[in-house]
Amino acid sequence: MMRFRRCLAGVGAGAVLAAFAGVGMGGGASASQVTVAVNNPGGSRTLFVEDLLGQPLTTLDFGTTRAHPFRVRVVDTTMDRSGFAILTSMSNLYKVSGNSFDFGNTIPSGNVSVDYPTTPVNALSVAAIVEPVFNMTETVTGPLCTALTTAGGSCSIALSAVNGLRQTASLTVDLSKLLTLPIVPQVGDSGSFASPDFNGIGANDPSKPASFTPTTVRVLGGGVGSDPALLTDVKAAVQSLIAGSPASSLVDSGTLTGALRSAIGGPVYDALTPTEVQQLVDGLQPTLTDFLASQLVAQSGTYLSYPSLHVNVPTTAPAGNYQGTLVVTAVQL
Amino acid sequence: MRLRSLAASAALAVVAMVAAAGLAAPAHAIETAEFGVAPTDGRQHLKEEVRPGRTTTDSVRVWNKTDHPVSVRLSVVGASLDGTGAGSVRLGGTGGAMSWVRISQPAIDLAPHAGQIVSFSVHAPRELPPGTSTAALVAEPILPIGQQPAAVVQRVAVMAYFAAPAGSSLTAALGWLAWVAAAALALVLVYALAPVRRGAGPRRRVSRLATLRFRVQ
Repeated sequence: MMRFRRCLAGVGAGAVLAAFAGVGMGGGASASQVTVAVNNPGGSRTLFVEDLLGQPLTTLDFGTTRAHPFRVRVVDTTMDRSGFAILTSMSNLYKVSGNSFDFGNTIPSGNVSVDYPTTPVNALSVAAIVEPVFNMTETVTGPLCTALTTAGGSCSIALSAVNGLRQTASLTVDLSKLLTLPIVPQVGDSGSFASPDFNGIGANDPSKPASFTPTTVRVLGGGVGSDPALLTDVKAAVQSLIAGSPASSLVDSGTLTGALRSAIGGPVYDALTPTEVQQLVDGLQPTLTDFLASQLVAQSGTYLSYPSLHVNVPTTAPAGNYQGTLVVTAVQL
Repeated sequence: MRLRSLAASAALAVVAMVAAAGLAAPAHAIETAEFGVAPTDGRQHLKEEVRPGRTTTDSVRVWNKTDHPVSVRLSVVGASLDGTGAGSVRLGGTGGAMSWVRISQPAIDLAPHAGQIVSFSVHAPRELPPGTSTAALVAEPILPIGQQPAAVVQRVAVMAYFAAPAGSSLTAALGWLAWVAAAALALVLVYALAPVRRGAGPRRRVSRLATLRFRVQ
């Protein structure tokens, strides 16, 4: 009986904690729920290794050209402002013998190298996720001005540094000005895989050492952009996005009325009717302020690299088919 | 018994929280088309505040994005940044902080669209190197038994940064072993310096230490 009670108590405690966890993860809204918008929206960064037709790369066929171009694609979806690196390493190439591998006959990984075509990187669909700040002005006339002055206020209203709602602004990609992107795509390195990896096919190599450090060749990188022109471009894109939008659609209503109350003074604000307050809000003219780097909170975009593997077959290598494993690692910095 | 009951309740609570956490959308995630990994609690990086000789724990979330079961292996590899900016990372090697980290569950089987939180411990050495040490936590797919090795292996890695709090010592204070050794040494000295009880006359005042010195001479 006691054991049963303890069990029940445990399940109860678990259920209560799970319920708390569930609420924290965006369960249904309730009257007592406090919603806090965190500064950084998080997001995801996804690696795709593909052939040039965009299909997942599952085989490495060097063919008679002894070259194998492929594509590395990294997709950011509302990803935070952090850099990345896509690193590759290569096993030795092992001679295929029936359904297995002849580990005695290899083409060393050092004979495999990476290079790139003339346009090695590209960026598509880049967008900046920003938290804009507005200054707002309004010159009130007519009965509303009378109401303001009667209450002791002024008919010229100015609100400064009002935090706006988060906006997603598409940015134009100019391959000659990659530095002005939120994430700057970085061209990979060329070179050979001097030390082999023992992952994949190489994992069964009897000569696999207890510990090894394969040569890694970066095939794509992404650095956090800090060029001053980035913020100018982002401001222009946001300006274009919000052109003609009323203040009430750019700023949270509570924030906006709070800023208005501060600007005209509490006693003046409190003397106004809800209709008059709404009239004031509707008449506010927002002006976007210059962006600071901290207002650029995330980005979306696709970054592409087109590396090509080349194999230099030694003259001493016996004829036959050789296979190896390419290891591609996406590192979140 | 009450302690056991409490422990059982706490364990159940942790299980419930982990199960619930698995349903949350990933944040700051690095993914392949099949699986992903991210620091827990929506953090951007694995930034560990370490103290010399102490152990801290942390966790990452790993999840399966597909409609089929996926097995993932977690490991820690050496990682270095050359300081010239993003993308200058190098993986591999046995140095750095990789030997400090122990993953609680290196191999994970994930049901379709399921996630799991995996904890790891960081045992800092008694003498920390200055600055920030690094390692990378790597997740890679485990092939089903009998399946031919893949021509292309896609992995994801999260950098982990380890540093002592600003202004704190990089060397651990004396541990219990050192205190035991000191106590043992003190006992030996007391024994050595104690007056010899055997015999008579002037030798009574001669300590064992003096005797020892005499013998050495």
